[in-house]
Amino acid sequence: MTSANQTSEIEYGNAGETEESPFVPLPYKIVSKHKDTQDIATIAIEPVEGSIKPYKSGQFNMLTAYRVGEVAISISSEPTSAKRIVHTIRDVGAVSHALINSEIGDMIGVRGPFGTDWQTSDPGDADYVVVAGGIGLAPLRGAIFELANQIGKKRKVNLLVGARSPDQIIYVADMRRLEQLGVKVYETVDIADSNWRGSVGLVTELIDKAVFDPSNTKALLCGPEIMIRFTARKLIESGIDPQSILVSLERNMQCGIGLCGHCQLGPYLICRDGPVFTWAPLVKDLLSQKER
Amino acid sequence: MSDIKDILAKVPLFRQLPEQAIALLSECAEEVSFEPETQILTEGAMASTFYIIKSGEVSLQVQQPQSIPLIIQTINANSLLGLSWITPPYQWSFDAITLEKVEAVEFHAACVREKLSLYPEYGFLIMQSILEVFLERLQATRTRMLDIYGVTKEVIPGD
Ligand SMILES: Cc1cc2nc3c(=O)[nH]c(=O)nc-3n(C[C@H](O)[C@H](O)[C@H](O)COP(=O)(O)OP(=O)(O)OC[C@H]3O[C@@H](n4cnc5c(N)ncnc54)[C@H](O)[C@@H]3O)c2cc1C
Ligand code: FES
Repeated sequence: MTSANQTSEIEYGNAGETEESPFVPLPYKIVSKHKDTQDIATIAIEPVEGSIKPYKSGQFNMLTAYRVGEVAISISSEPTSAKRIVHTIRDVGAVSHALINSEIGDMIGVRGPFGTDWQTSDPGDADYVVVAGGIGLAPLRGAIFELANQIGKKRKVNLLVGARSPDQIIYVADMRRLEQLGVKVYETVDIADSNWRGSVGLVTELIDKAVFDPSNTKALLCGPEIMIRFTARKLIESGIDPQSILVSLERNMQCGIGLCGHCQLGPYLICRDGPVFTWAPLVKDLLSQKER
Repeated sequence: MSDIKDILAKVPLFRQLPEQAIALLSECAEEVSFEPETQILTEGAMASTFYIIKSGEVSLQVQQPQSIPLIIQTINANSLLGLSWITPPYQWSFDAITLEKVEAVEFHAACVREKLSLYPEYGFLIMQSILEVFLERLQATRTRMLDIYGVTKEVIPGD
């Protein structure tokens, strides 16, 4: 099925609801797979019997690699009525390795959707600065397409992407598509050879290039926490209200539904109160503190 | 052509400077433009000029043996290009090549150094502005050294 909002080669979207227990993963089949970088791949999955509830951009699912384990993975598809869901996974440990090495036709388990969202389904008339570092673009992908599809004549949407090197940038084809939809895309890397035509430097340096009205701008940030801290500071210096900055955070998860305490950050449980938080007053002080 | 003092007064880096300091700098400055792919600075050459980029982007590059150059950093509009003119031996450490058409203000380094020492009260303020650039670049370099995006995993145990 093709939706009016379809924006990627990979079809994605919501499925019908289910009344299953939040602890029981539903079987989904991998229907497409794309290798983004040496250690990151994007899979599209479809329900086999029963599907998860509708989701919003920024929420996550718990994905099970059968006989290996379960991990929290952000939903990277734009919420539509399509049945497919897209996830982008980086190979760092046993579960992510098993998921990323699954083949088309293989089954995985899905629980979700969980957590808070980017609030991009109705963006009002605000400008947007979306800042992503590395695989931090994955939780933002659905939100960016949602914004791009509602860009209108006045709204400015800036996507600032940072990565280690050009070959570590994910969703390259999507970015060209977003530009066609009117999104201003700026990319920077830490290191590149002279074939690279983008910027070289910190992602914070791209903020000077972005065009937005600071008095009516929302910022969405996801990436390494050091990047989030530096970027939030620079955005506030450029006049954006700290309460208009949303950040997505990660901690190890187990239950995904606020019962086990594994994902605690200060007074918050990331799975229940996050992963998307407002920068101030919620997380700004917690991120610069040492965790015990 | 607009007055060079007006242009300098609008540069964010010089926003704290009093009029007199801007006037001193403007006596050593002129507007220039470069076509894309122009080499503005050359590693090892005498650092006799420096620039405020008004528009366009410049890449700082270093040559490597038997391979294409590496880009150290790109310098955008409103930024300072060239720091090696401040202290001896006044030699560029990197090549600087325009990535697109660049409009800039060019400063004559010897002239600026002379003004800094002749008028120390403004010289200090000007150096403070330039130190801001040093600090920002030092902090950015340190952060980039952290490899915050994470290293690529080479081997999966048990594979
Ligand atoms: C809300 C939320 C959303 C997430 N979304 C995604 C997503 O979209 N895509 C994705 O790939 N991951 C995502 N993660 C991370 C994911 O849940 C797992 O932590 C990750 O896949 C590692 O699990 P593992 O069992 O494979 O490795 P583990 O066995 O848990 O870890 C193996 C090694 O990798 C390190 N490690 C663990 N997690 C990471 C990480 N995220 N980055 C770098 N090193 C790490 C560990 O410290 C350890 O040394 C998300 C996490 C949360 C909380
Ligand atoms: S993962 Fe169990 S409380 Fe959050």
